[in-house]
Amino acid sequence: MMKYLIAMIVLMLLISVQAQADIVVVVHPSSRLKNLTQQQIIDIYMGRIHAVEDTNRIVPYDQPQDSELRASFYQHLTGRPVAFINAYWARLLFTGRASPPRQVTDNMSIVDIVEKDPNVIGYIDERNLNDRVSVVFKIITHAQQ
Amino acid sequence: MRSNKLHLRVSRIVTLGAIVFAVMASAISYTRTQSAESEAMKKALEQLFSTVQRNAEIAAYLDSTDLAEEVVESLSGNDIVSGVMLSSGNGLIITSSWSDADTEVLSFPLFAPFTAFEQTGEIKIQLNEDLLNSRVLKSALEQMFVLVIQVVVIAILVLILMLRVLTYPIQSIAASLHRIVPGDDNNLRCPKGHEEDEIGNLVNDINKLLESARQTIKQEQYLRNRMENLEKHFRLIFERASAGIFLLNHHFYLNSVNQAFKDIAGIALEERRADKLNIYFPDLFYDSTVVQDLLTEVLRTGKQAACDLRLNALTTGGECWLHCLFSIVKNDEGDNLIEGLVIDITERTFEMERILFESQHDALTQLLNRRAGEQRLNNMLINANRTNSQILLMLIDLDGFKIINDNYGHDAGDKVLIEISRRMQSIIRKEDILIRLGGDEFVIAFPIKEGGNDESELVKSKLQQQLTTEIVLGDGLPVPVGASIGSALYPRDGSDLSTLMVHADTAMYQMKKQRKKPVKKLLLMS
Repeated sequence: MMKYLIAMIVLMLLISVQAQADIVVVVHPSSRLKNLTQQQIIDIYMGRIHAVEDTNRIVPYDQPQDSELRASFYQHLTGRPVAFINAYWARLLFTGRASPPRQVTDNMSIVDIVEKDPNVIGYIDERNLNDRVSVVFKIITHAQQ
Repeated sequence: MRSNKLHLRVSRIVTLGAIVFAVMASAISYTRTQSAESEAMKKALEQLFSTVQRNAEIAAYLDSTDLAEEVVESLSGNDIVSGVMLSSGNGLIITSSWSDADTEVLSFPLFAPFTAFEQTGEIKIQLNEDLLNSRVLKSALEQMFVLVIQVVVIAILVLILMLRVLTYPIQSIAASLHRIVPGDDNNLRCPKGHEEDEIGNLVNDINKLLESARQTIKQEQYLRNRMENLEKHFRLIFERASAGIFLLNHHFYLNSVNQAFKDIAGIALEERRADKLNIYFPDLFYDSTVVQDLLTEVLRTGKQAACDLRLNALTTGGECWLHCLFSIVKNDEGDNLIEGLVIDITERTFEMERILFESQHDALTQLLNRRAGEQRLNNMLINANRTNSQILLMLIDLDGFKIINDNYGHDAGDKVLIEISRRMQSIIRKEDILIRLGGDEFVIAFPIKEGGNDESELVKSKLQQQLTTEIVLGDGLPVPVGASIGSALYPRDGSDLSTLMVHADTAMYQMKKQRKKPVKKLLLMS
């Protein structure tokens, strides 16, 4: 059992290293948001704030529930595993007062959504970055290569 | 009212001590319980907090009133919580039954769930002090209850043990000791099971004490009996003694006398019966000053004194002589008393005098006999030698006495001798000596004063006259007598008695020769 566990962890690490890329938080190019702090991004995604300064309401979009990117994003952003984040939202859901960010199906969707709506904020794999969106924060997910 | 029973006293002391200890222990345990309960409550609160920590953090993080209210409600639902206040950095304050009273408050900081050190709020929880106190009180009361039970059990145990181990044995010892009469042969019995302990020792010691008391009492009784017997004997001796016994005080007054003394000195005592208790002892005697001096001397020297004393004249008129023995005794107060012993020697005195007289005198004529006479003569010579005086010694021999004896019988001869003696005695003076040498020989001796020849001649002639006067016997028969007299003069005729006697004897024989004829003539005449 232990052996399988260790093997799986090693395998997962390999995969993540392969799949690992920096994550960028992106908004519509016309957005007044230019630079966001890590704290601001956390607060936005955790439902604490819904706007930064005098901007319009910011609508955060999330990657699919089980995607690696999502896990990596939250891990690197908050320093806590995605399960913790899931539990956080599950807890809040009981109160019915707050709701988690909307989730999309894949990377491209985020770009599409951000491109269409200037109030939307999302995060994507840096490799999928294009000119249609602008980066407000970059999350370094791995050590220097 | 306090009982003085030993076991109650000890039990009381032990109980008091136990109560004091229980109170102190309760006080200590109360404070300990209080802090322990308080700690336990705080710990429970911390645990309680940890169950809602996440939600509370989220609530503070999101400033979510609903979530905060839920957290606060869920906390205040616990009975150890009396009030809760949740506050966030953004001014959200949710409270539940929060009181502003000065109660113990536990504060827990609330951190943002995703950023380590950002404090987003605080939750304050007030302890339910009533609950705490009631718990502490309950716990303390329980402990107290246990202690009280312990105290009671200890007191009862001590009481029972004291009763069994000490009080009952001591009571039984005391009771049997109470029954014991000193001098009896009863001993204390040791209560069972106490033979080897202090109670056993006590019993043994008491028994030893009883034994020695018994011995002492027996000895005392023995001594007392002996003393009583002795006293009886002594009293008997004192009372029944034939000798008179008396005791004088130092002023010579009679203190006590026995019956014999009363009998001996009886009449004299009876005379003083009116003043019986105050008889001056010397007054009893004829020569009271002598007795007084004697007693004074005895008192002064402390020596014994014995002498014959004559009692004061009895009413019967007879003489009474007592042999008295005086000695000093000391009474218990240390005063000198005189103890005396008297024996009636009246008869003995007379007897002695009679015997002495008989030994010195001729039984027939009552004149000095030869032995006593010679002694007197010698004494007279010694006296004369000292006073340088003369003594005339005359030797007298009756003429024809043998013929009287032969012719008239010995009775007549005796009568002649008695008559002659009486005649001679009438001539001489008291201090002169008249001796019957034996048979019909007599001696007369008397001192002659200087130039007293006439006197001696007078005596001689008187003597001649008396001796030649005829004697009439009882039946009217006259008997002629005559005598030859030879004399010697001291110191002219000799310096000692025998020389003088020889001289006188010689002179007498010469006279006898010359007078032979006339005597015969006398005989012839009758």
